Amino acid sequence: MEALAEKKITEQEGKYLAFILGNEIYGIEILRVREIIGLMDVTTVPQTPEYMKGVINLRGKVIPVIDLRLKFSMLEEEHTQETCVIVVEVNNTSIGIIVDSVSEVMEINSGEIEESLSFGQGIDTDYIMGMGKVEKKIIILLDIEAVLSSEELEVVTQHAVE
Amino acid sequence: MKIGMGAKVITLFLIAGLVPLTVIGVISNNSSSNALKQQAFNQLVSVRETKKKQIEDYFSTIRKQVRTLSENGMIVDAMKGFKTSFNEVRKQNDITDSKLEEYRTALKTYYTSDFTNEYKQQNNGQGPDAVGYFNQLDDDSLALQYYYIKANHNQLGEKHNLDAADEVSSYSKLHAKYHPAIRDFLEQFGYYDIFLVDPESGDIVYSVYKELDYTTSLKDGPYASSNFGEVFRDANNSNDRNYVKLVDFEPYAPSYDGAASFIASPIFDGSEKVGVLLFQMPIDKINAVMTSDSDWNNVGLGASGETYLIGHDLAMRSQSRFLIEDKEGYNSMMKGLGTDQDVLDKINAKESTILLQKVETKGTLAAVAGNTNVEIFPDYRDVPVLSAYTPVDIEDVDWVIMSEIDEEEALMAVTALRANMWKLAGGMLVLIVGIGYLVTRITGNVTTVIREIVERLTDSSTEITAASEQVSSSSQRLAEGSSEQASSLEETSSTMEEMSTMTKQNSDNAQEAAGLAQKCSDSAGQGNVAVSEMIHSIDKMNSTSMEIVDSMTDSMHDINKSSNEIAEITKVIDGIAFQTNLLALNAAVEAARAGDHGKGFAVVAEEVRNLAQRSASAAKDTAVLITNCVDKAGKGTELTNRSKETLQSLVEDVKKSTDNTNTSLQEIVGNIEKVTTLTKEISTASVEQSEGVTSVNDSVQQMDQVTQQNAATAEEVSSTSEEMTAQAQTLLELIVDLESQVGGTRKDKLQDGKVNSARQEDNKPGARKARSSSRQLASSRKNGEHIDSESLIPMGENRIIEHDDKMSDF
Repeated sequence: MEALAEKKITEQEGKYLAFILGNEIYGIEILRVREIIGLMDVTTVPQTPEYMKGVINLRGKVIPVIDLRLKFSMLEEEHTQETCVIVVEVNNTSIGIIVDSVSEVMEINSGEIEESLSFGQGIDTDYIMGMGKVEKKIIILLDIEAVLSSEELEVVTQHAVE
Repeated sequence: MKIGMGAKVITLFLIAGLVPLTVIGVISNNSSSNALKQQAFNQLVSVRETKKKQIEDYFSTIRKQVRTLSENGMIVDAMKGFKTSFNEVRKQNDITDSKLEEYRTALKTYYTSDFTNEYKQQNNGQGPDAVGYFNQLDDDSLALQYYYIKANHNQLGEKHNLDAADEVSSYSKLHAKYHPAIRDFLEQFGYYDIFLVDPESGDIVYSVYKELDYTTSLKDGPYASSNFGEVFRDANNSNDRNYVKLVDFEPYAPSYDGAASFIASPIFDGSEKVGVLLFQMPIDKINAVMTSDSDWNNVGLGASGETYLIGHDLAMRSQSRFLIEDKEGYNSMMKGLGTDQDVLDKINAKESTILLQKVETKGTLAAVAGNTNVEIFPDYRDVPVLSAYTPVDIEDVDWVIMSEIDEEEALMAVTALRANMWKLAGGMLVLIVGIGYLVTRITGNVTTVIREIVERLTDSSTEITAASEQVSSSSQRLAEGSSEQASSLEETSSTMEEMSTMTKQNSDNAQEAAGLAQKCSDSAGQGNVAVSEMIHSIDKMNSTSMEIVDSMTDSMHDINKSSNEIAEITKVIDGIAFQTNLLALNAAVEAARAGDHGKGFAVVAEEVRNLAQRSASAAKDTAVLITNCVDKAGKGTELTNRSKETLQSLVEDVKKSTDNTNTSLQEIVGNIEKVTTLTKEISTASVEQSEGVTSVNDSVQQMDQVTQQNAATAEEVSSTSEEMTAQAQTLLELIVDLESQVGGTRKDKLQDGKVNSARQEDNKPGARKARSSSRQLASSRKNGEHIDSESLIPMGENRIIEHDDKMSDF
């Protein structure tokens, strides 16, 4: 199943894919998500940032994989059986992000979304679209594009191409 | 006061000195005077008696001499010869009348010049009746007197030296023959003259000295009326050849009217009286006897004493000393007494008091009356004399002898004694007064000194009081110290007892320990046995356990295997579930993409997802269970293994520990032995300690005794100091007394003394307290009580430290 949908959802409500990273539940817009796969062997690429784990072969396609933990400057954990790779599509590029586990697809109303807060000047909260409250749980809605900046993307993409 | 005392003292001294002095003086003076007087009297009496004897003997001797000489053959012959030749002288010499006249004239000149001059000289210028005497001479006398006096070339007074006259008669021959011998006799015996007298004619036919009476007749011659004639007649009248007659002194003309005394004795030739021998008494010799040759001093008559003879007429018959010694003084004295100048002149001229000096004194009167006595009366010089008088027993004369010495001289000793007594009295008086004065001064000084002394005494007594205070306080402190010492000894003693008890305990404990050690040893032995048994059991247990464990292990393995298989399968299921989930998610994603078209798909996807989740969860559960199972099995295995290991190690450990135990037991036994040894040592040490404690106890007891003694001594000292204080007080009072007597004003000092003594009173309770406390302690010790010394004597906090120091000295 290939899904190269170029849809920018400006509205934040919608369906999100919830995944768990560490103790938090993050959410990504479903439309951004292409695929969810289980973790498979990652081929490491030298001279890459640390959070870039390497590349995988997904049905013939080479997709760079980023460890979101490292990206978020969290400690790297050992991969379990539940560790998945979410293939997201950003700027027509597919990048896989390693997450601890995938939870579900959930529908979040706009009423349940809080605007991203500002934690001060030093902290960059661009990548947080907002906070969703579902069943007393707070889901950090990520702006996956912000998370993966374009420069990095380029690097990543280049590598992917090569 | 001072003066009064002085006067008092002097008066007292005077009285004290003079009264006895006077009494003694008077008494001694009296008795001495009496004694001395008596002595003087006695001495005088002895002198008198001696002189009396002497003179009596002398006269007696002269009597014998005259008597014996009168019987002497020579004298008899001489008498006869002279008598005969006397009458032939003129004839034989052819003396013519003219010659006679020549002789007469010549001789006359002798009478008138030689004799008269001498006479005048001896009679104070008074002339003799020389011519008268001359004219009475008969022819024979003339011739002989011419030859032997006038023609005698010898001087007047020396006429006796002529042995042979210048005449040729037989008389001359006889004279030459007999005269030297007779003269020698005269000279030897000191007679004034020796006469041979014709008994019929009375002619002095021979005399040694050729004086005016030579050849005159004593019957009818110029001198017949003298005492010479008298004594001749008496002797002549006697027919007793032994008849001797002495005649008293009378002035005799031929002797220039000097005093002359004669003694006569008839000369018998057979029965025929041929003549009379006469001596003219030796006045000089008599004087010599009476005056002891003028050596009155050495015969006990001193300087003013004399012995003289007094005749019946109260005139002297021997010389007066005073005339001999001091003629002028005698003269003036006699003149002063009113003696006739005429008499004095005569005395001076004759230089003799014989017959001239009248001594009419009480004594002489009494002596002449026949009394013998010793008296004091004024003598012929009107000087009081001590006079011893007595009649002299000289035949034919009635004389008395007077031994006299000036009363003054006789009683010189007495007077001297009295004078000395007076001097002594005077000296004593002065001395006494002087001493009295000195004493006054000294007492004055003494008073001052006494005052000073009193002051010093006061000071001293004050000091004594203070000192006794100090002593009291010192004794109190001593008592306190003793008490403290006693209390500390108590403590020591109690400590010692404790120590002793502890030592005992130690000993007992040691004993117990030994017993226990022994038990231990036994137990160890038992332990050993038990351990061995235990090893046995353990081995058994071990082997059994091993078996069980092994079987268990096998079972475990089986379970494990099964579990693992189940786990595998579960895993597969889980994987599938997961994949399914993923697929479902992907489907959801796609559905979401699809939008509305995909809603139904989304639901389906959702359901699939749910199913997947269920499976997953079931698988999970199973997995969990399996895991649990496996775990448990694993655990079980582990446990089993572990228990096996544990058991084994345990067994080993047990074995090890058994060995250890064995070793330990051995060690224990060894240690027990050591312990036993040590225990014995402890025992011994305890014994020694006990002994030590005992000895310390003894020492403590001794110290306690000493302390008690100290306490007692402190008591004594305290009481003594009290006494001392009292004494000091008494002393002070005495001093006050003395002071008042001597006269001072130092009462203020005495007040201080009283104050001090008052302070002393305050201190007394303290001393008593100390004493009582020490007594208490002593008594308590005897009772064996353990007294808390704190109760008796409050101890300060520092006491303990002090105590420790005292202890550390122990």
